[in-house]
Amino acid sequence: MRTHRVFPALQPWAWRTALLRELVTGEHLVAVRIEPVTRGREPTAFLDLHFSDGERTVAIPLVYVDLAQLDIRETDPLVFPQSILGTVSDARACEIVDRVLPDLERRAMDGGFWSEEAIYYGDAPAFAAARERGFFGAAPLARSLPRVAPAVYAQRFALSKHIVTYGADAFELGAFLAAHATSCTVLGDDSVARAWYGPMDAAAPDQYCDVAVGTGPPPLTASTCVRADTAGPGTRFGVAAPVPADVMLAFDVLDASADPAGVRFSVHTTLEPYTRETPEIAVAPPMGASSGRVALVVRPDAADVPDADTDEAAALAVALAAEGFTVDVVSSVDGLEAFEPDLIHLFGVRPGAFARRVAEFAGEHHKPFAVHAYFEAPADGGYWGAMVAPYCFGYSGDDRSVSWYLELLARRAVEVDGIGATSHFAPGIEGLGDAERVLGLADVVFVNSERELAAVEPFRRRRPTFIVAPLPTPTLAPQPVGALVGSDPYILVHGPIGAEGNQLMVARAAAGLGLPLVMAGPIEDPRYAERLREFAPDQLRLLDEPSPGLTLSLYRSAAVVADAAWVPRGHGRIATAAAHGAAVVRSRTRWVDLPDNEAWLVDPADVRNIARAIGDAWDASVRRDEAIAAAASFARERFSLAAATVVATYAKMV
Amino acid sequence: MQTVVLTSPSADARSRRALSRALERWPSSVEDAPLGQRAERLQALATQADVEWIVVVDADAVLAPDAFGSLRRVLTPGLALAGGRAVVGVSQRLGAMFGPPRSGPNPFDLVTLAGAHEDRVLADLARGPIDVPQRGAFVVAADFVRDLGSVALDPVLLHIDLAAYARAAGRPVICEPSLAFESGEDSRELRSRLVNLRRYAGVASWRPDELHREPARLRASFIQREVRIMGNYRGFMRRPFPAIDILAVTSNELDAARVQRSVGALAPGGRVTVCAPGDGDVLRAALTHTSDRYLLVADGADLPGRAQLEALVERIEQNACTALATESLRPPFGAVLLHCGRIINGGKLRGATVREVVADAVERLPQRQLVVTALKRDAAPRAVPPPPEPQSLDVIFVAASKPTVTQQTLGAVLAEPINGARLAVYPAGSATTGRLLSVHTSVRLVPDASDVQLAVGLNRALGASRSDTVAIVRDDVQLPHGALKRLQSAFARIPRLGAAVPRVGGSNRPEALPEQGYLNLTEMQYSFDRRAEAYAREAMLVDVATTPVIVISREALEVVGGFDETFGFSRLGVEDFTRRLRNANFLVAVCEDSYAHLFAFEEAASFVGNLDDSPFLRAAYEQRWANRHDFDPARDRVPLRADEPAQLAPGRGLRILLPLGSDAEWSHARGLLNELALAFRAHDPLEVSIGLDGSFGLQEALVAIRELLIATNIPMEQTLNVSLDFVPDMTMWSAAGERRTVRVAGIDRDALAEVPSIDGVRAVRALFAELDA
Repeated sequence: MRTHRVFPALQPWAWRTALLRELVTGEHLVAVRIEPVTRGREPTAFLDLHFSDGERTVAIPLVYVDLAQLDIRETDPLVFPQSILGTVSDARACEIVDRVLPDLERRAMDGGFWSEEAIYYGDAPAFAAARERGFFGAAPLARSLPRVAPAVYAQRFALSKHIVTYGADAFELGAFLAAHATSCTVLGDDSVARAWYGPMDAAAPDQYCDVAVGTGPPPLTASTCVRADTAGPGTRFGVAAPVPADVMLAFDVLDASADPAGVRFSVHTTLEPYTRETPEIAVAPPMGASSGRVALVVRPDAADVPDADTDEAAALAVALAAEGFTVDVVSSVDGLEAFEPDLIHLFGVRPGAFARRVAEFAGEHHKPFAVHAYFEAPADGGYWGAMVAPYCFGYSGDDRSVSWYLELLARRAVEVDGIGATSHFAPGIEGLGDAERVLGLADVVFVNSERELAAVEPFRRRRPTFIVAPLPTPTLAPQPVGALVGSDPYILVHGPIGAEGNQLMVARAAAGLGLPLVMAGPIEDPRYAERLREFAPDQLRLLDEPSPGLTLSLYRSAAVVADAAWVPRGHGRIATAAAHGAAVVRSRTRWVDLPDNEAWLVDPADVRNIARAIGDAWDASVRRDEAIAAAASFARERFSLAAATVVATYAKMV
Repeated sequence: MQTVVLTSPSADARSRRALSRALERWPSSVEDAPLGQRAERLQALATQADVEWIVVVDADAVLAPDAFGSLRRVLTPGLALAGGRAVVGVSQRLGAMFGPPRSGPNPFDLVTLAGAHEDRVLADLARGPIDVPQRGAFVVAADFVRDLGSVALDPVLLHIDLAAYARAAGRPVICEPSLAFESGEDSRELRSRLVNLRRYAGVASWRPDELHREPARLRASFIQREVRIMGNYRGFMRRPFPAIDILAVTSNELDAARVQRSVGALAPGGRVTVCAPGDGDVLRAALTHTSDRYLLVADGADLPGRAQLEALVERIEQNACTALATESLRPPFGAVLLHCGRIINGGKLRGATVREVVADAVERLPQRQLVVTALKRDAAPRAVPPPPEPQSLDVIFVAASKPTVTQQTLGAVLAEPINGARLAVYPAGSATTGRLLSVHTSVRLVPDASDVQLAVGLNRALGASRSDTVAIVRDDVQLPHGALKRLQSAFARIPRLGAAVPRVGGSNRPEALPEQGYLNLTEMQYSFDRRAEAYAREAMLVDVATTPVIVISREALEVVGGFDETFGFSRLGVEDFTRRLRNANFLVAVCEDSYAHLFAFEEAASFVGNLDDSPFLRAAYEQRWANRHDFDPARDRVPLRADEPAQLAPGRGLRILLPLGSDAEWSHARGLLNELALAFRAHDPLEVSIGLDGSFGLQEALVAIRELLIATNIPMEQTLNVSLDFVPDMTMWSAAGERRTVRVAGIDRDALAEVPSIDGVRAVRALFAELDA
């Protein structure tokens, strides 16, 4: 039996193992729902299988159809969710394949799957009623998914908790939480929902609960309440269906085709995760008495896709302003021209074409030109990894092939278009030639490590290059994060979601460990984000780019901050995380001096290595008082020097 | 009326200079609009009555100096958009097509029209109507934008938005490659937004049969063929138009003559056959020769035009499994295009008339999971019945290894439960193996007296088998229990499967798996069982198989025949056989859930296995397949042997003793042996008896003799009688019996001192003359 591990949060029947074992047979298959969807840009389809013996019912939703196998069959065309492995035997799976295959093949012979439809193989009153009501597994995803969004969101609060669902949709909401909580009981009754989702324990009116989920005011007291309406107190969330995928939900409308009239819900919680104390990090003790106009230039897409480089630019802007400079952070040559700077400081030489234009402007106007390089040598394999790793997930029809490709990736044996791990390769869009030219033109280049220095040095022609510590984000007042991430410890990944960030590998590693994972950052590549949501473990919480205050709060309460990026854009974020006492798991390519240096360095190509490092860091995060104190002390000593070094260098340049 | 160029304020100096230079030939006013405001600005400009054309130039576009030189000529009233040719690095891009999607829910596939930048043919053929202009620099008709009103346009996807609306309005979009410019790669933002093609679903009509992957002129010269990559990923490749043969159906001589005259324009280079409507055999015969070509079957009085033919071709190439495209799925069907690279066993289609044969193809091809499609969708395809499960399996055991190995592997084969016969092929002279096999009464013995490497015997055994499927197992292969059943079950899943082979140990074959780590039979069985469970029902389709264990369908045997006796059941024999199968459009699968242990040659010392790496066979194989991609039954089918073994030479006659002790002696003898092989046949009363008594080894001798005999191009069964023995006692060996004995001159042994010598064919003939006298 082929299995997949995608959308594990959407398997409300997976815990009903006895029923699955008994009813999932070819004989009991009474209805199948087919929904054509896209995966990447490739068309495909999902099936919802409904089984019934006349009294009891159970469903297996989101069975993936490998369309290519309907043309020429090299393997089973149906890929089942991995949650049924061990419950449903291979022989039973074969029976089901044999039952539905003629219908699927007929459609394939007719040119494909074009519309959502239901096929009945027997009496399926529960399925028909559920389809009518728009229940998940029976109705089109566009209709059913938004209904269960509050419950899917509430899964982040469910671990080791007692949950009560209430209101008109109590059964449906409970079905999506039962497998995640210590207990899940239901207040209210709905015969159609009970027949579809299966029986659940009834809640007593005075029952104790940690989390209440339902529509309207909760009928009992709970520390966390997720309301499927927006009338209550707390944070409001919108539900969006991200394009191009049809299956997943997004709670951050910025990364999706937001429907302004769409579903909204609210979350109110009094619980916050454990938070470490805020360290005192003075980014630059002001010496004062400096003056001049300094333009800090960031990427053109910095506003949409902030990352460590833009954070460092912002941190330096604060430090320079305190020093007495007039500072502006700009992201275009026009902005630069309008600002009329005395000195130009570029953050990052990617994209090369933009960096070249900035360098040309500096040259034409005879302005001192400093560069924070964040340079990635193409022979180091970072760009290769960013290119091939998504293929390892995207080309795979089932989970075994994903694992196989990931093993090859770990051995650096994956090639795409003849580009291997040791090839001198960077995508054309990075403008490598221009980037290298800019490194040669700059009056001063700042790098964060010896390794980066070695990569930059060949282009410098004996011009000055300095190693400086990364600039952490200045301290800000904490903000509550409980409504976003729940109250349990978690692993945090912070950065734009895209191939260079390598989040798929971290998600895969965290899924293997079963640890809660929070990924915060803007969607840089929607197709990558789609893959990430598809392969995300059910304990993944995706957040949009948090505000600086929220970011620091997330760092302070994260047990582990992980960064396995293939191609880093600066190191300010991991520096900030380390300074805030988080156990930092980082890519081996990030050779910057941090507290706990070298403790949890990982190979971004090796998912097992990442998992092991995260597991070790998670274990080490429990008793870290000494390490936290040491980190704060390290941060005070090292990071405050960074801005001072930059200012001193400016003085020499002008 | 004026032209306005809408450019970007972020364009660099080089782009601006290039634009100024290009506009020297086409005076226009230039306006800057940031990307975010570009769509609004375009719509605002279009409202100005004196504006006729608006040129949208991206920030990263560097126009060629003469970019606008020929443009004005093609900007005709009614045109909506005109795009150009972008050079991006080493590639050129000429726009895109709204291609038909292969499945929902996207309304179309956006197919970029791209190629190597030096490919002038591509640019030439792309000139003219296209669906989407190339981003970077394109021209928009102001009246077209005016007609759109206040529709919301995405500034990043402006070219695609406008193209979709042009399609909806029925306004033409063209590509004019002379509008040339350099451009950067598409931005991340553009690529991000492109993932949402469903936003266009309501903009225009997207009926799949009205969408094309290539512009019209390209469709006339190239096809887009679907290819499958890594199992489940499907893409398209541009390929030259395959040959089109034409079968014109008419009894009218005038029509026939007109067909011959007009066919040049319809299918250049194609072969034309004219047949009467009642001559179904002609169509069947045409379909038995399979190759990557099309066969157009049409009424001689009503041949389709080139455009209709291209429509049929496009339809047939929409899917790699489409074998037949016709005008209608109902009789009389109209013009019918058959893909001879996909149809299997077309010679077995039923029907007396051409139309009946076509009707049978329409009915039966879907049963093989081959798509039948029509320009007019007037009938829905029916559910596909699963392929029939093979009911019986014959096993042919090819025994030519050390007896201990044979005994062990035979035990494994006999332990497999099969519904069918068991046959064993072995060298007739191998008494030990014969005894070993003959104790198993369920095994039918097929001794091969003419070929110690058993090519003849194998084809005789294949001719004797009767089951749905036939397994051939060489005796240097150890089968785990259940392996044959799993191989056989693949035929019930894959309708066009011709042969199935297992994975094998080792490293030098495509089917080889890395080290499995078992040390004995029990561990091998355990390893196999785990693999069978993990890879249940998985197969990998291949073009060439090499393993000395193979299961073949009865139909495949009937179509391609047996194993070429040049190669026998060696690795090259299996390669040759499976290539013929693939060329006859059967599939060949390596079953991932089946495994067999392959003994190393050093362990098994198989007479057949020693041919696996023979350079002379490899050379013969490569010569045969160097330029052959088709299957012609008259040329490629190897008849199965149904006859009884030929009578060998009578016991009386002449025996030539040839002791061989070294390479040098072989070199000395091979000339004479070659002459003898050319001069005499198996039925002649002559035997060359080779006695090995030195360093010249048995396997070495076997290969050398085979090479020599094959070089004569005489069928193995008819070649000179040659026997081979170890001769520790030369005196005993030279005992003649009833035959007269001579020896080869120049190769002397003390024990043969008394034996007369011969030095050539003439001497042998003289001796025969004496004998006859």
